[in-house]
Amino acid sequence: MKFITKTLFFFFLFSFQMIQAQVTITGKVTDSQGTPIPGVSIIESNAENGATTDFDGFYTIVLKTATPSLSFRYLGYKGITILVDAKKEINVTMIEDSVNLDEIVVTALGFNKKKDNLGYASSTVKGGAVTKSGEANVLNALSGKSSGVRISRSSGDPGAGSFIQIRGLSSITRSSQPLIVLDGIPISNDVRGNSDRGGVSQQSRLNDINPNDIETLTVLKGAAAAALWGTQALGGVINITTKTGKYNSKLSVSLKTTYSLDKINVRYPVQTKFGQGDNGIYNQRARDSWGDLISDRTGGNDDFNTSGDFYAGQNGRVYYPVVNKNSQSLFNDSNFDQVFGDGYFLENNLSLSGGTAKSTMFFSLSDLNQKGIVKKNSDYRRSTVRFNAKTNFTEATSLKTSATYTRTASNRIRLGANSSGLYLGLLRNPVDFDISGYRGDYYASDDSAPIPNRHRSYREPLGADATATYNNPLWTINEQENKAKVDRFITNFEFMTAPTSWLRFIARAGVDHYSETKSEFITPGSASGAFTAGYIDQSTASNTMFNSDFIAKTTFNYKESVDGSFLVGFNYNSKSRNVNGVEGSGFIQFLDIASGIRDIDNTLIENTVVGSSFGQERTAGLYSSLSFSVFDMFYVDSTIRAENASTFGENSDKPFVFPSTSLAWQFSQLDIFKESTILSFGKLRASYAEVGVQPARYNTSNIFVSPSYSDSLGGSLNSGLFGNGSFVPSTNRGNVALRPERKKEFELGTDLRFFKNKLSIGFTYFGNTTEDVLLNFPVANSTGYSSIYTNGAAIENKGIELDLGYKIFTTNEFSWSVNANFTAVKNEVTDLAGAESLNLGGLSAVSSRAVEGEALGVLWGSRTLRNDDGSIVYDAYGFPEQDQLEGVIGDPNPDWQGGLSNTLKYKNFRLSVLVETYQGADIYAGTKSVMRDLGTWYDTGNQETADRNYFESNGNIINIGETFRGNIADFGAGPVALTESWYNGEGGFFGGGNDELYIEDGSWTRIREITLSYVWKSDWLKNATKLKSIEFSATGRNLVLWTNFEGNDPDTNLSGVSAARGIDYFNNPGTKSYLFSATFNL
Amino acid sequence: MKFSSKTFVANKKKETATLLKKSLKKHSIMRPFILVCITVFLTQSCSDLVADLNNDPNNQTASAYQTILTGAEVGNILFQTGENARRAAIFAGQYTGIDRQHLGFNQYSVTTSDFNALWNDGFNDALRNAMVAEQTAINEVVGAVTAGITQVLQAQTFGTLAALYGDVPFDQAVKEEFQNPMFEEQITVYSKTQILLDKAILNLEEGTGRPATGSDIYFDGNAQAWFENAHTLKARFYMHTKEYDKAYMAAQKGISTANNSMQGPHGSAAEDANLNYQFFAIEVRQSDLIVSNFMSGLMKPGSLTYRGNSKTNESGRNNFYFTTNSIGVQPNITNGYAAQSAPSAMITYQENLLILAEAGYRANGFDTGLAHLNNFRAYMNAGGYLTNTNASNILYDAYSTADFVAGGIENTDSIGTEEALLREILEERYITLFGQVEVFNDIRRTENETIVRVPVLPNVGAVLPQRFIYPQSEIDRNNNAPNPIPDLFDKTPINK
Repeated sequence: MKFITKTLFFFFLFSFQMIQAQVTITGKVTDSQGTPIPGVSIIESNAENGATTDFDGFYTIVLKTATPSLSFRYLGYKGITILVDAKKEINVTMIEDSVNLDEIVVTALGFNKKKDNLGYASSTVKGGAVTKSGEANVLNALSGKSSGVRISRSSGDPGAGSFIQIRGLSSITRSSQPLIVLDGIPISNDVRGNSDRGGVSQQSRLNDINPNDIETLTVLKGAAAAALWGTQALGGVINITTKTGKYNSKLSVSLKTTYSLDKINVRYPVQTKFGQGDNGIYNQRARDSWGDLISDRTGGNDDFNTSGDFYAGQNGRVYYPVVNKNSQSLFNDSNFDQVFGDGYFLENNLSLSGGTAKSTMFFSLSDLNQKGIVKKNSDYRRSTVRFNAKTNFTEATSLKTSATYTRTASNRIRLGANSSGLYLGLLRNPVDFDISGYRGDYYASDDSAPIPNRHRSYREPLGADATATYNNPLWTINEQENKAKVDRFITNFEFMTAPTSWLRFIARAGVDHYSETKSEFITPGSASGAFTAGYIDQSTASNTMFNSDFIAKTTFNYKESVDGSFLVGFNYNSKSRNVNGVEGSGFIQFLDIASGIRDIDNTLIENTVVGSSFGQERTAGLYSSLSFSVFDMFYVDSTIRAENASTFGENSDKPFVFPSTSLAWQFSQLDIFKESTILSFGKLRASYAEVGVQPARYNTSNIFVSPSYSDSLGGSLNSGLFGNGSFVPSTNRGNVALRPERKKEFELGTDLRFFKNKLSIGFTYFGNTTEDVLLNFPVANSTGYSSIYTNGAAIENKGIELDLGYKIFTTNEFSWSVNANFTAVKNEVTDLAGAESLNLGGLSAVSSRAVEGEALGVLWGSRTLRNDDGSIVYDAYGFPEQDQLEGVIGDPNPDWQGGLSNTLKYKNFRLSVLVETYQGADIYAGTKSVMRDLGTWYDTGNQETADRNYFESNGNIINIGETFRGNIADFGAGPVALTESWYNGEGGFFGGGNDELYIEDGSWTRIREITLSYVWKSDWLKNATKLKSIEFSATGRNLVLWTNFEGNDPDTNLSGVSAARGIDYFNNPGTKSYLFSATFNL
Repeated sequence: MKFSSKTFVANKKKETATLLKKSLKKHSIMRPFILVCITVFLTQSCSDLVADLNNDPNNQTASAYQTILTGAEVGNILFQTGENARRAAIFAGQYTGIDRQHLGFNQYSVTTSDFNALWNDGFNDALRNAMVAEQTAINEVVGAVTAGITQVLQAQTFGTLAALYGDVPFDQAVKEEFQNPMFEEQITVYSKTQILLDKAILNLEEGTGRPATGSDIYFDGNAQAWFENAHTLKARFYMHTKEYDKAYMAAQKGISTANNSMQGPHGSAAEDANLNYQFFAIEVRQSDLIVSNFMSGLMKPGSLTYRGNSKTNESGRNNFYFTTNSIGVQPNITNGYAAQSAPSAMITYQENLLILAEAGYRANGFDTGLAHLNNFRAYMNAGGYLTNTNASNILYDAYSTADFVAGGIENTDSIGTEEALLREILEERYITLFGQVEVFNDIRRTENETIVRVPVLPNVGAVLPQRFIYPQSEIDRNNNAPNPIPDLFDKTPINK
């Protein structure tokens, strides 16, 4: 009845107006690039009259009032109202409204919601910001852009993965990495084969995504935002949506070419005054550089003994034993330049998009070809193709699909604590040893037969022995390769149908499949024992993840005041991985890298190890969500997920339930604020939620293994070689009562905007506690076992997040905006089930650990002996004594971190600068510790003249007036002389170094990125080339770094992509880049 | 497709109209209930989807008793003949540690964590596997002999643990229901071990239920051999507790032939070689640990302390045990004691002969002791357990009483005749059981018998080590671990 009344009313109204006026206005609506916008609503003010632009952006409207104005509206663009004023043609250029777009948040299930209506914090990064960062990898591009999120790098190696941490570490043995959801489907972000102290930098699988395909990237920081993913959401969720075409748009083609020039970021400072040797005497086989003063040498050529053994290097030079070291030549720069150079990458990206009234499509091709700063065997190439499409079959039924294929190929250099690592060999190398001539033939005497393919290093200058002790860095880059090839397919489908107006069914299914083939090859002769006789390792991992969701969604309302939606869904997730490989050492025939042959049969059969493993797990979850608003002022979201997974123990209380609820109160809707010119928007929010992480698969049962019992300090007995073979229970027990770890989080916050939205402030306080944290709990051996996998520990995080935005100027010609974010998180392991400490990884001297009452990941090592009152205990000479017990020596977690970005636009120019800072984090300067020990660190080249008598650490006295090599320092008990004896002892790394002395401030501030871009569009360009526009941009990435840490970018990690952090030990260097790109839009 | 603004707008309008119209209907409250019904339906299928998927396909969750038995026996070899035995022999003065960790052990500078691995070897590798093997064999109804074998293995481990550490868990050891096993007094552990051996003997006497061939790597299920070993073990533990008459009785049923000696079999692969071979030859520990001057002095013809005499030529045995390199005297890794595939002695015929000699002497007197010693010497004179010597380097003529009388070749310092015999027997044990845990047990047991004991002197300080100290791992993880823990130099109760 109501409907009929309304219709009649309008009928009469229209009839009346039609008599009044008959003026027709025409025109065209375009965007800032001149592209027509179809479907723009044109509404005549004060009249029930409207029109819409057609496919080419044209419209016609017949006016109905006498002094009309027209308003133009289109989602995502700023509305414009124009007075007609006797005009017959009105052409309009609509400006994109970035504020409005920012307000859309992609929720856990992939639905769009207005940020203003949410009761939890989240951050959205636009695709453009990801590509403008100049990072080849999606993850690194997030750095500094969002509060609550920490991106930590492992090294500057091409393709190296990064560690993401949202709102603090929450797990000890399980991953705290966020779940990555791509277009509604979780995808893998595996890091395979990460080593905590050596090996190569591994990739994160997220890097397989082409950053240019990303439309938006939403970080759901809190548990409340992520709770619908249950046990997959402990570390939060990162929602990535990829680009789509626009409805009713012509084909748009974009070609982007980027060239990046990469340079080493920081170099370790070395001393150039003293030669190889010890105690001030040159020795050409010494480990240390505590040798003679090079300037005291006579100069000229060295005296050689040419009567005995010699070495003929691959560089054509012959090396003899040095009798007298006369040469004053220094090789630090030439050695360095033989290993490091400029890196680069070239990226080409082509995308096509468009759409009709019922369907859209997006297609892209990309290729990134990167060569690292290490001159050989360090590269990364990623090629991707993507096709996204959506079709609306009917009003109520649609199908969306996105598919991508990625191929990556990489080659990486060994780093860290292994004598075949790159920096280890280079930074320990004395300044007076030339590394060229790394491979060659050794002759015991003039008339003896050559021993070919010997490895020459500074500790083995003639290659007389088969072991080089430490690799010559040229050997490392030329004779060791570590390749990985990945083929990856990710395909998603989403089918939507609405059988009735109030009910929608959504079905999603996606497969993420990759295979990774790793191939490592080391020419016989490398320094590490395992590689000396040649090494080959080949393995293929095949990983599949299938995920499907079935969602039924409905909307409801009650009277006028309550609006809401309700959904139930079912989630099924299955993961499986198969790894097959073979590893061999001890080559039968000599083969090197250059031969190209990777024949596993060339290794001794008893040294060939075949590995094969298969694993799978499944999760089934049932979830429901209820959202409603009251008076457009209160917004409530509640979700619940019940989950069952194959990894849960049989005796656990399955299924597990993860609830969440959040409340947003837009108090600015109150009458008293409605007219306010100061407060434009105000919201208070609060939420509580629980999420979790599953136990590792295959830990619910006790298994039988065929052990190799190792004899303490001796060999081992492989029980499989006795009798008919053996199987006994594993000393690590399974657990039928395994539960997921459970993180409980509450968050309180506010979002405020002032002065017509010019100033915006977001503030969040959160606290979370993870209970039932899984660990391999050590049990007494008298029980017959060593450990049991169990839920037992607890971890707590508390923190604040602050986001500020200020639009300083906004005019059509010029705009300037500033955004800042600040995060401080305090972490504590509140319960470790009685275990003293659990090792997360690192060196044997210094490791990152979980210790009750301390932040997770604290650094653990040897330390200075202190009295009960905390004062240092000194020895008789004034040096600090060392504690016999190891303990906590540092905390690698920062006190706070922040980002500050400035964006200036003037006409077609755009300049943006992002500054990022990371404050109050400790780092263990392991490289420095070793270099001081060996006498290669720059300050060990100092010479001091004693202005009084000084003790050395060994009790020797340096008399006043004497000049000595070393430094003067005061540990608190008066000045002492730090000399070779100190650095070789507790002041260094080897010989019982006091690790606490090398805990340093790892804080840094950097200009993370600076970009200048110009969009060129003109009629001439369009007529001459048909190009709509060309955008040029220049980006500097990581150009300026302020830090007290010496030698490397402190954003580095020995343990790679891991929760164990804060150790620098011959890590590969970080990089900075200069990028230039041109984008052609057709 | 041609775009038409008319249809576009028309569609939009229609959409809006539809939404307006339908949303006004009053289903609102009913809608969630319909979905709840779907939920209930789906819950049913949830748990079925994930069931039975967490059985590790890469690892077995059960094993037949045979392979467990083999695992237990290999674990026993490691526990009885590996670092455990070497460290005991350092404390017994047979080895000298000269570098790295072994230098510390030689200085009696040990920490609780130095014993973590050794304790683990005993409880996890040897004892636990033997107990699981027994239980599995019972479940599979294999029979008495197999059960007996697993019990002998358990008793062997319990006895060794009690000898080295004193009080150790027994009843509550390796039982799932006890996460903090109670420690029992050393003497109780010994008596319970004897009871366990008695049970084993009853089982072995039944003669049926031999383990499947190949699984018992010591005797391939030969019940007689195990029966004899069980008795020698009984005798060994009675020796520890100084119940010499019982020891003598048990030893009489003990190992009767060299073939029935319990020895770890070793081969030529990297990981089945003799553990001393692996230690000295492969892990290049020759620069860390050498044979002590005291030990080599006894054995080396021509040395001041050489134990040979007109009736005894030790050069053959010396060559079997030792070689000399630039660092010092080393175990023979080429063709003797520590050769790659040399069997490693755990319970031997020669030990049984010497138990008979010592216990026989202590229980029945001089003549019994001498007779048994001469039995041993006869065995040695025929080559004994030596594998690399020719007859010309061996001489072990029978001793006569006169040899032990003051001034005799075995009593040049004129102590009592009986004491001279006991001294020779104890020294013979020290030599014969070289490198085994048993020499450390003897040294401690006889420490108060100052005239006859093997005169081992402390490397540092005035006292000899009296035990292995409890490992840090057990102190940390077992609430019932002794507190405070006894010191390295605190005697275990049986030696007090």
